[in-house]
Amino acid sequence: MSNSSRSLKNPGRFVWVLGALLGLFVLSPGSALGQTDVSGTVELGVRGFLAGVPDSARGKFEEYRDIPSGLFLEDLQLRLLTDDQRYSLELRAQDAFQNDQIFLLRGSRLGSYQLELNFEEAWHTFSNTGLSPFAETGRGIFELDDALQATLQDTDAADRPDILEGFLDNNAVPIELLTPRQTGRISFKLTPTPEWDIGARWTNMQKEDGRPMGLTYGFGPTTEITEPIDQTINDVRLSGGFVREAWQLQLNYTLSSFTNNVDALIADNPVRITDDATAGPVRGRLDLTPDNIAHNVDLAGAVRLPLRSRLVGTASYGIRRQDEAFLPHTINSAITSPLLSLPANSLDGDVRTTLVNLRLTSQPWRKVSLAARYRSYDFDNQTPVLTFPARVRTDQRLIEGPFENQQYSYRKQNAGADVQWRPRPVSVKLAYDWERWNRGDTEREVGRTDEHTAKVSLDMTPLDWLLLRTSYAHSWRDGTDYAQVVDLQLPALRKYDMADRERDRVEVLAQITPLKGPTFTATYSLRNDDYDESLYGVQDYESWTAGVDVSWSPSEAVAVFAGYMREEFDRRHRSRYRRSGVDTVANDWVSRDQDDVDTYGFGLDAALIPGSLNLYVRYDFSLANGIMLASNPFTITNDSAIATDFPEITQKLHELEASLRYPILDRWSAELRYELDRFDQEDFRIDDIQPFMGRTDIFLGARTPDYNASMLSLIVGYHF
Amino acid sequence: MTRALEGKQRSTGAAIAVLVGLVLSSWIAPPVAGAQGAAPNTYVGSEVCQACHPVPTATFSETLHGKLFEHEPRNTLESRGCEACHGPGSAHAASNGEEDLEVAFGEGSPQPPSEQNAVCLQCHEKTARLYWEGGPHESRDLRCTNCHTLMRKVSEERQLAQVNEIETCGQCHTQRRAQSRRSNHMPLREGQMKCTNCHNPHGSATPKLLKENSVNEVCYTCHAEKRGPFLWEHAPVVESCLNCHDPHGTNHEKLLKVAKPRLCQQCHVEVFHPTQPQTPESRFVFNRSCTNCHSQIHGSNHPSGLRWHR
Repeated sequence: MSNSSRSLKNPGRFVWVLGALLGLFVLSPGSALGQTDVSGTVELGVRGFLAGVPDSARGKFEEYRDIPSGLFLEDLQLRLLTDDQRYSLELRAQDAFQNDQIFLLRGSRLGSYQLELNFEEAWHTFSNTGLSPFAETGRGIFELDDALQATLQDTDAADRPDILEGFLDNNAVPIELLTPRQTGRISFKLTPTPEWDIGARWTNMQKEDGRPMGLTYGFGPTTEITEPIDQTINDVRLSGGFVREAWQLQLNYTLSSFTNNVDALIADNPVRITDDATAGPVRGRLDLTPDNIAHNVDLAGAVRLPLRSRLVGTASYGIRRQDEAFLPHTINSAITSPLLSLPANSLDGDVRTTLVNLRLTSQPWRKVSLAARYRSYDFDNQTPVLTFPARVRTDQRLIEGPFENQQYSYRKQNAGADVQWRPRPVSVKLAYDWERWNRGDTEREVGRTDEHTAKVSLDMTPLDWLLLRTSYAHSWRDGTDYAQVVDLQLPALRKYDMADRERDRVEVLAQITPLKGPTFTATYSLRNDDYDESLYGVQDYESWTAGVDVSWSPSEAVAVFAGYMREEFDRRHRSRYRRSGVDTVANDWVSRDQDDVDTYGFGLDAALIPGSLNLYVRYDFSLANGIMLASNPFTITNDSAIATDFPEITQKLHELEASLRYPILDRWSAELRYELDRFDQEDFRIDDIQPFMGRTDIFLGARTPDYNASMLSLIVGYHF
Repeated sequence: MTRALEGKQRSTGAAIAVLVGLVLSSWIAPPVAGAQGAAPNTYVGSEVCQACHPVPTATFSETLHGKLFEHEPRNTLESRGCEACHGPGSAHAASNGEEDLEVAFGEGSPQPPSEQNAVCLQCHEKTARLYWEGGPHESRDLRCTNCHTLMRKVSEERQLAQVNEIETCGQCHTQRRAQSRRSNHMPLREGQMKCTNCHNPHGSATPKLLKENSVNEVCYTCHAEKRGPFLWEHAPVVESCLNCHDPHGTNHEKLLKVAKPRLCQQCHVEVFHPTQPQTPESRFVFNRSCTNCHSQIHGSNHPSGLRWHR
């Protein structure tokens, strides 16, 4: 089934949206003013696939888009403009009636107010190869055939896989793995005088359907099912600002609420038909993300000071709440214990955020600028710490505690200063920055880290046709003592987000624009992170990128672009295989993860017959290789510690578009467009994934097969 | 110390003082607007400009600024039309273009970027431009016209210098543009997202020109389900989504920076399976890897969700 055909299951929604927008358009005051100029564009096309995409591959092909065959409305624009140019009304529709349609209706009075209505639809398709034997009998409730569960429960473990495989071969049916997102937005901006700006915006986002999700029943079977998604996000933003020559103020308020209409996911355990306190449950229950709400208010302002100085600041305060009722510890009726009584009915989650940001800039002399800045972001998690006497691991087994939830708070502070000297054509900047994280000694391994950065930037335009931008920064991060907070953790591990680190960064951009000739842009960047104090964890990380772009317009009729970018990422980390009674350096292993990406681009926009026939070509090619190498530096003492290289993961993505556009008559145009999209991937982790992968696990078999699509479209445009 | 030496030191000091004074005065001195003794430059009106520059005035009149200045000026500055930005044009007109305009924009302008930008900031140093001064783009001497074109309509929105945001920002941020072409990407090239969904290129109160107060708050704009707070939090998730994801595009699923299971194994050296290097065919590696079981890795509100299985 193609994604485009799925959109037809709810055509009324699209008709409603378009009808509403058109209705507003027709009934709007702008159109009633009588003396108006009407202009617009309608582009209607028909598309055929020269090389089609099998349904199985459409998941990736249409991951974020909709490419239907047959008729399509690519672009619709209607504009009403009063003769005095003061009032305007505009309707735009892009890819209307498709899964990626975008509508905009905008009415405005020039320099005074603007009202906008947006509707956007975006489908995120995860895969088109999903197969599942589960039947969704209620929203979020997935059931298997009882006979299968009974059979597997009564069968020796060694014989279960064959039975399950046979069952899946006959009973796993295609399912959809996609999340359509629809976003509606109303915004209003008012500028009663140039000094005032007042705005209001309401955004409503709906997400539906589902995406793959794992559910385990202990170290026995693992299943993969479709996470039911029925979520709504509502955002309201109100803003007001007032400006004078010497100062200005802004006040903003934001409300964001998230509602999930499905509280839990329940799925059958393939190997149990009766609950058992050790062997496992009939069903597993997973808590889906809870409703939450957030408020934020911020006040910002700036004031001009002597010596061409300016102070700008923001103070912001936010509240996040989450208080959804807890589910019981388990759905397994065989596990009962007074220890499983809940210490509270809900979390009463409460986070307060405070931001203070100040920046002082000054230009005491014409060619010298000074800046100083301070920023503090405080994330204060006031959620109560609850004590759970016991928990049930994966609905399978009671584990006595007590267990306490950890609520992480932190404060991140930044301060810095820089001096910049601009004796044209050179600009030199020296900067120092400091970043401190206070995390709290009991929750995380390092209570405080300080990172210092010294940076020098040198920009110059020594010649009219040459621009150079360069910068080098050296950072060093030190933390307070690294203290283990998880009993089982390897004491010598240093987590990379808190470990001592030295970082070097280099960035270079050179832009060469010979007089009326092509523009060459060359870029180079290097980042080198050393974690010299880390015996285990990330050891070092190095990445570099280099690219060159050429763009040239030899005449008004021709524009050419070509570009190439090489990126390399190389990360090394050290670990150790450990289990009870086995904890020796001999079982260390080192992983080296390398990613190389080459990106090529080419573009041509040429008037083959000036004012008449136009050629447009765009080609992009991305080639990515990822490899995970692993080795043991010593002779291991346990086979589970054997480190081996993983197969290379590669992705090749070609996208070509070539079109010829020709104006027919006065108001009509025709465009012939050829598109080639090709995707090749080798990923050992998913290439052969099927519902049955051995044991008693059930997967969705969600793959993203290769595709090689070529399309030819004819688009006719009417411009008025 | 001898008197001769003292005298030398005094004269050296005086010379340095004079030199420093000269240098400082060159910095402090205001820019010279025109040749001394020339007639004062005055406003002549856009009609005069149109006589010699019919094409740019025609294309400009189709832009938002053109319409506003021509049809609905709200103050004296806006009513000056072309001269609102370029300054009074009498000397330029009288000299048949020999005399430069007071303000010209773009690469070949004799005015430094800060002076060019000051023209725009007369009206636009508010709302989203509050943090322009001292921000990364301002301090690298970017001109407003690097990203915006006022004289003709190139983009559908925001009077951009290129057809869309990713091409505009990609003029300098070439790596970000390349990342958007990867197979795992945010839907920018499909037109479902823009750079300004997350960033304010004019400056903000947050590093990397983010529009919200933290990285996570930016992500929550669309992924509010990740906001919590949850009963069982995952600390690196709470602190920054960027600990694991690169939103600009990667060659790993879910925009991860490192492929699973290695991503998780960088920090998890407890006991048993997280510490095992694993083999390619292991159920801890294929398909969703670690999240085959730890599916609630962003946080769980389940009373037994300590390990994010529930």
